Amino acid sequence: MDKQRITIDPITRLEGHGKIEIFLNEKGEVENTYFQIPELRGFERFCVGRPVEEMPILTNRICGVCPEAHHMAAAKAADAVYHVDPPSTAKKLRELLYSAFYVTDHATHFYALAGPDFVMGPDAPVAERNILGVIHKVGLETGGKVIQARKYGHDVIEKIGGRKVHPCTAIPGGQTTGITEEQRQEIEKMGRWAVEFAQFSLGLFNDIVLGNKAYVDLILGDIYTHATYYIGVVDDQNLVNFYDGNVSVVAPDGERIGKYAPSEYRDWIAERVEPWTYLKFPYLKKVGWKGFVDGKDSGVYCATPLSRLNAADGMATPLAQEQYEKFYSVLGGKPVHQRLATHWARLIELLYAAERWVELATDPEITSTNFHTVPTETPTEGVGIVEAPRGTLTHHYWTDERGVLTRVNLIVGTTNNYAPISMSVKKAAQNLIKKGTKVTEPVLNMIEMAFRAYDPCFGCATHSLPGQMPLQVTIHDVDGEVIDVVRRD
Amino acid sequence: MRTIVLGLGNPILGDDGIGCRVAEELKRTVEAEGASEQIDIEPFYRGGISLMERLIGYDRALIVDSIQGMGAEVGTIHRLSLDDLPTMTADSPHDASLKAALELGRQLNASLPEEILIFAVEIRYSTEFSESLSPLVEASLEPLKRMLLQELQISPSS
Repeated sequence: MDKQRITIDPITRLEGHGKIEIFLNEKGEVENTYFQIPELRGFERFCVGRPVEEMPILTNRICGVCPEAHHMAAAKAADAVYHVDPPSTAKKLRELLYSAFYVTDHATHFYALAGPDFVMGPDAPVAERNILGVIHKVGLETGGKVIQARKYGHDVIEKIGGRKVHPCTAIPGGQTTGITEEQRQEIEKMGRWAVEFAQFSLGLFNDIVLGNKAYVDLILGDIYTHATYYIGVVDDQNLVNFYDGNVSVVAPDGERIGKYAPSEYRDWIAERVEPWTYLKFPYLKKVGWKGFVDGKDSGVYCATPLSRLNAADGMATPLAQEQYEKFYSVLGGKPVHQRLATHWARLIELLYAAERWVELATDPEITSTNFHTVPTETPTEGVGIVEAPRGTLTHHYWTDERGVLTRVNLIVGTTNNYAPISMSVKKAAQNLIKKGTKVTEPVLNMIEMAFRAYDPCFGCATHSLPGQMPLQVTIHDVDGEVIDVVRRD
Repeated sequence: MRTIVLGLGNPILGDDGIGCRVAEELKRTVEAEGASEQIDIEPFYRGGISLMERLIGYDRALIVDSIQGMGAEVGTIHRLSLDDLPTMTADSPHDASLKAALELGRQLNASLPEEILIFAVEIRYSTEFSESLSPLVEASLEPLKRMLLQELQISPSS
């Protein structure tokens, strides 16, 4: 069959390097797409033989973007391995650190990653479609706020976690240290500022995105829509929680089909292997793998900010709850399947994280010195789950009776979304590339937007400088001859 | 004049950890020479805006990292300026490229180094976790350290 191949390599504005291959048929329409990523391999093997208490330090080196998420999931898994329940103050300190981290992470994503597409526009000149273009448009003062939000977040992480980048204070049974009243007051003050910043960011989104019919049409359009299952951690009231709770699973029609505790994850999640990629595709075991399709019969699920909102009954803080209600009111009820709405959901989570930061900073228990329970049980096996910014993060450890790791299994945030991301790329490509379509840079960017909404983070532990790696799209004819090259230098 | 030397990388991802390794070793040498008062040396694990933020308050910065795709032999050390790096749009870690982040910082009147030099060691991309460097990259460690000491105008006594 006469086919052409388009390759987008590497993907810009993503941690790690990915590659999209688009195969055209003889009619010049998209027949299939493959989203390939270089998975970092061997981490589980690398961990075997180490003491489990090292894992909160070791695993936060997996990722240069969200070490805090791995630190938390590892600490919770290590608690479970030792069968120890940390004191309430320890859990609150961890969640406080985690809330501050969420503020920095989600703020950075909106202004640096999503912002260029929505503030500048998907077809803006590529040289302007970056954070500098965004700041130029929305004002330098806003740029200062973004940097301030990050600074405050990092300050809290350092105060509770011991270090700005890779926190090191969570251990089996709790924390190695607490906070003083003086530190608490500083953290509270910064949190109150963060709430205002989050509200400001939602206001900006309201004005620039929701106030622009073209953007609203883009969000609500079919190109970026998939009716899949959604998962997300909820508390006992079924409200969104990033640090603790059970995982809620909601069907495409909005019905909650169940909730699972961390230790039950293998009853719910299975992994599909495909020959063209090293990374596995998790899916819902109870529904089954039916291929890269959406709908109630397909076990493909999604774990993102949008998923968390869909899988919950609401937000646990008042201002975020108001925004949650507005979100579903504007977008036509639950669940919302439009992937670009993930950017809005992320800002609602930003507000929740900031409010939760203040709640925890003003909790009477937060300065208690009862922040560690010494483990006394023989270690065996345990699972820890948190919501990483990019999706549900599961760490599962097995140890011998000395607490030395014998086996490790991780399902990281982005991996959950590998199947839906692949589907989104295909759908966007099919919609945007028709017979005779000139594959221009804006067209490529709109395909990239399909997966940028998921904020994917692949192969993310490396910071190697890319020497000469422009974005390049090559179109091949059936004989492998290059017939067109689109290059982004 | 305050100088910062940052060794970027991931110490558990094989050759990607070259920056961290050299930072640790250089720090010991510089401290032994009693020259550490105006020079901060540390490994660093993040890029983009975080990296820019770490450079605030210094007059001069030396950044050490691994690099891929320059076409040189593995272990080759490149001495680069910011202008030698790809453009703001092509070079894209999770948040923003270093160049875009520095431009953002300057627009916000952050006190950023006047001079930023990059020392990059050519590696082949590895997706395997490891705490050790490959022989060719390991061999670049000493010459890299000498280049950095020369840049810092420190002559080791031994």
